[in-house]
Amino acid sequence: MDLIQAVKLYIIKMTEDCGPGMKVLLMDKTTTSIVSAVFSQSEILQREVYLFEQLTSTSSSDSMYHMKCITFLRPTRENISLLCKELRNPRYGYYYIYFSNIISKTDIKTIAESDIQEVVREVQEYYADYLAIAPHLFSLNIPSCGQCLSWDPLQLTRCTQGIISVLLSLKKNPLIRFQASSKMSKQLAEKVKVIFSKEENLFNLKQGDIQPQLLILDRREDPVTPLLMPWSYQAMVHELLTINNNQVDLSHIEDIKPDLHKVLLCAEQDDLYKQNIYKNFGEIGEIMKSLIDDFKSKAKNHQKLDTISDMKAFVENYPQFKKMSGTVAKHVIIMEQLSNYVTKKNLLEVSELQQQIACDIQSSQHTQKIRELIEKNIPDEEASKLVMLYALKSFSKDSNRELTSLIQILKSKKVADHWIELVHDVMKFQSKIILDNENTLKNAKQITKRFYKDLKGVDNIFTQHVPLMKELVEDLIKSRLKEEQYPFLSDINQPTKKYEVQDIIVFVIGGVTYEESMAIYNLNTANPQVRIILGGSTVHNSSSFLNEVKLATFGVIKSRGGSRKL
Amino acid sequence: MTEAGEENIVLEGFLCPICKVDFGVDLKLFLHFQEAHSEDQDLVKSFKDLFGKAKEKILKNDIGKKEERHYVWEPQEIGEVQSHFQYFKHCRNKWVEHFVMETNKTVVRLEKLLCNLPQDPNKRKTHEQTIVHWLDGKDVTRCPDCTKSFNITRRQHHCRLCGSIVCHECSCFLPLAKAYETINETAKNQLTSLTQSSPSFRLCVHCGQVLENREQIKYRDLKPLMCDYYDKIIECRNKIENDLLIKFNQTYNLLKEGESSYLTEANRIRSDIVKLAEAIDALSNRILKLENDTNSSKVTTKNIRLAMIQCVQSTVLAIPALPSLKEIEEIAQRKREAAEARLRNGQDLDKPKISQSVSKRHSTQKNEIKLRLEDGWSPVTNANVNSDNPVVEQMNIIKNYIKQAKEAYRFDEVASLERNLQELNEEYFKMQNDSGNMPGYSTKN
Repeated sequence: MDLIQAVKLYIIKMTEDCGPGMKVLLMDKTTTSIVSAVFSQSEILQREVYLFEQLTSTSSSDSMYHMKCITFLRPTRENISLLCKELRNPRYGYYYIYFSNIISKTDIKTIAESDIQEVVREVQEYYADYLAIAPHLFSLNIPSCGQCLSWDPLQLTRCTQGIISVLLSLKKNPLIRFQASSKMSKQLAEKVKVIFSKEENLFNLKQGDIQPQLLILDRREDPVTPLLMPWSYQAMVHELLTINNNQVDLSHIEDIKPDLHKVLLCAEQDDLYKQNIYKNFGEIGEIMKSLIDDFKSKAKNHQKLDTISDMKAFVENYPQFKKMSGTVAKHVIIMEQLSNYVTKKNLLEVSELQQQIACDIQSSQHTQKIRELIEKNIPDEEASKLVMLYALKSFSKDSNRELTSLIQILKSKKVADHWIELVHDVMKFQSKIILDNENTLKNAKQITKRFYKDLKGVDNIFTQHVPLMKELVEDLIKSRLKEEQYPFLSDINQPTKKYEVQDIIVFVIGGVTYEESMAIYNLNTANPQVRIILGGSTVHNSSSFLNEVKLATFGVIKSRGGSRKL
Repeated sequence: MTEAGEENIVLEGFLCPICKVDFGVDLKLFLHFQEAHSEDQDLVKSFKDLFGKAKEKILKNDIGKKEERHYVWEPQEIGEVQSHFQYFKHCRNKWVEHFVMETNKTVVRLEKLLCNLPQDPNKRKTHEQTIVHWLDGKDVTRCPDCTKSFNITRRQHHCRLCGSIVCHECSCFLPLAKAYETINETAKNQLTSLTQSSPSFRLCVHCGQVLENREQIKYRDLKPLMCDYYDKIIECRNKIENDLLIKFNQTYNLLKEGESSYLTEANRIRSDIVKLAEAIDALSNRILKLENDTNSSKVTTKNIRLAMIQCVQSTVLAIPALPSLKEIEEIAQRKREAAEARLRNGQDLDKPKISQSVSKRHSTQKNEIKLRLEDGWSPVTNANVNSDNPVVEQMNIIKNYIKQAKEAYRFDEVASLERNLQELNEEYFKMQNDSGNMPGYSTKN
């Protein structure tokens, strides 16, 4: 169930299939990021791959017949026609063609008819059709799933393909469950089911005694989590600096060295990052400080190079020192940026209030505190996110009036219009309408939780909120996830008795967050008897999430505010 | 985790335990608690005892959790695959047959056209038309390739090989010399004058493509010089990885057992490996220096060089230095003593103990070897040029390190050493300048 290994093994197999010799890897844009997420350049060079090309309409015409071409493409119509064009005038000696997903017979025929020179040696499906970010996390890099709160057909297909390829690469044939309240998750579940029955041969997999479960969720059920300020390292970097294909763009920083314009943050290659990926901001600060102190003391020692032995020690350590200091320098700059943002945006105060709103602590004071913070001139996006959280979480009788007045304050503070629109959009986006009785039930639960927290005494007040997904998966592990709300897709042999759970694959339409990834990581660590994989249409931070919200609610007229019980 | 909270954001002062608000003064907190949580208070009290013990437990668990734990899953096996090659071949075979027929037809026509080709343009046209039937221009109003209609500016042209009508843009030209080449005849002498006057045949793109493909197939098997070098590199590499390294490790282990007779053998293997590594380095460098006309081949050669440097580094660095004869004899001596001791004390009694101590010695020996492995470059004394200035001395030492590092293929170290040398150089010149002003203080750093 290791996604990174699964993708890696496929690619290693590709380089082995074609035997020894110089190789070129011909990819499309998506497969390029799929490969680069799991392989470093030096690693792939050792597999005799010396050239990386993208299949585009404007490819170079340099022919190198002495090279073998490993072609790794998504089975899209555009790719097929480009591949046909390539094969009619082949630039390389032999072609080993791999598709990242299921391809139709007609497409194979079309390609075969273009191969007049008989250069193709292999045509295979290798199901590495997703971005493996961590052993337990994948993304499909879909910034937005649809409009009008329903699917964009293209993205529905892409999500289906993504899930199918994850299942095939892990050799899992799961029971499908979906979120009953979401039309989109039902559609996706059905699409996946259709492929199961269409490709019976492929899914005729050897299974253990306990059948895996695929749980399809909708982001609309929990729009709160992506709005909260996260404090673990990876999530924070994504929130404040944005991680894109494992890369962080730092070029906006003044007088930064050119080699740090784009830095790679890849747990597979960067041990320091790997060790600290889930640590919180405070812990990392400590670690960085001790690292720097260590280096400083070393550097200090090196400054007085009186004796030859001093000199020698210095020179011996120098290359390693250089290399380490490169990694440390990268993280120091990132940390510096993070703490700048924290101060500049007043994030400590903002986050504290966010958590209070999200966890229903001291509800009576929320509006007052939001007002106070807005008066402190926090940035537009933080101010409006607070109002959004309030809008999502408050259901009391006068909350509508309060909300209107809060929006008035935003307006008076000259917050940009699109932020205010987003407050309404987020409310349209939210799917859950909490009924009164459910509310009280939830409150009771909340109170117990708070007690539990107080017992621990010094629980981190910035990370009190628990993502809904964590609760759901915990329920699933204990076989307590309600079948009314998360039913099995019909006409699958439903387990009548209490089913056991071992392998779980969770997919979230509308994206996941790195906070949720951390929650799943912790669940995996705490429950060695289960294996949980998390995936989403993308990995969101608050701003990319709000973009998706904006697009998703485009064309939705009815505001949920109107349906509220007043 | 509790500690984490403290480290992260230190919450100090008079906090309300329930709502986590800082009240600054104890009195305020007290009042707040009375007001806001008076009901809760009873609740808290009643729960307090109940949870007192639980709390301890929870906290302990948390501390336990703080140790870095990762989930470990069994190793991933490769996922499902599905091959379509059989079906692909089936489809391709049908098509290739069709294509071969087409090619043959075209080539035969070309042969006919070239046979007894008249020099005069008018006669040539009749000759061409007798061999290939030309389509009637009246029937064709649009170019079949680009579907644009013919008019005064877009005139009709006939393909000399299939007789179809195309526009100028959708046609290509086949030079006579090349045409002869295609049918495996060299242009005859008497025709050279002709080639100048009428340079080529007009063809439609389709026929052009057919001939072009045929040409290409001829060139496919040509291998550039780079391939020879590369094959040699791979040969060297295979020899190192599949043969020499294994042998070396075997002899090295024997040496560690105290078998001094293998020392020359090990030295020989070691130098063989280094020689092959040098060869790889030289060959890949030669590939890099090859003339490359295209961008892709430039990138390729650069990457090959990069990969080979990595490979050389990892193999050469993986070979440990050999122990000296004296050290081996020491090991042998120790082993003998151990054996004797074992003989002296009853075998059964002390067996575990001895084996333990032996393994201990082994491990210390390993450590020693390791240390030597890592201790890098040593300053060569004879290189110390007599100089009063310590900076000059240091520069000389570094120069020596560079030399040694180069010999050991540690190129990244060479680079950093060179940078270091550069810095020292600058420092030295600065000092020289300073000392010009203040003679007598030249050595002060």
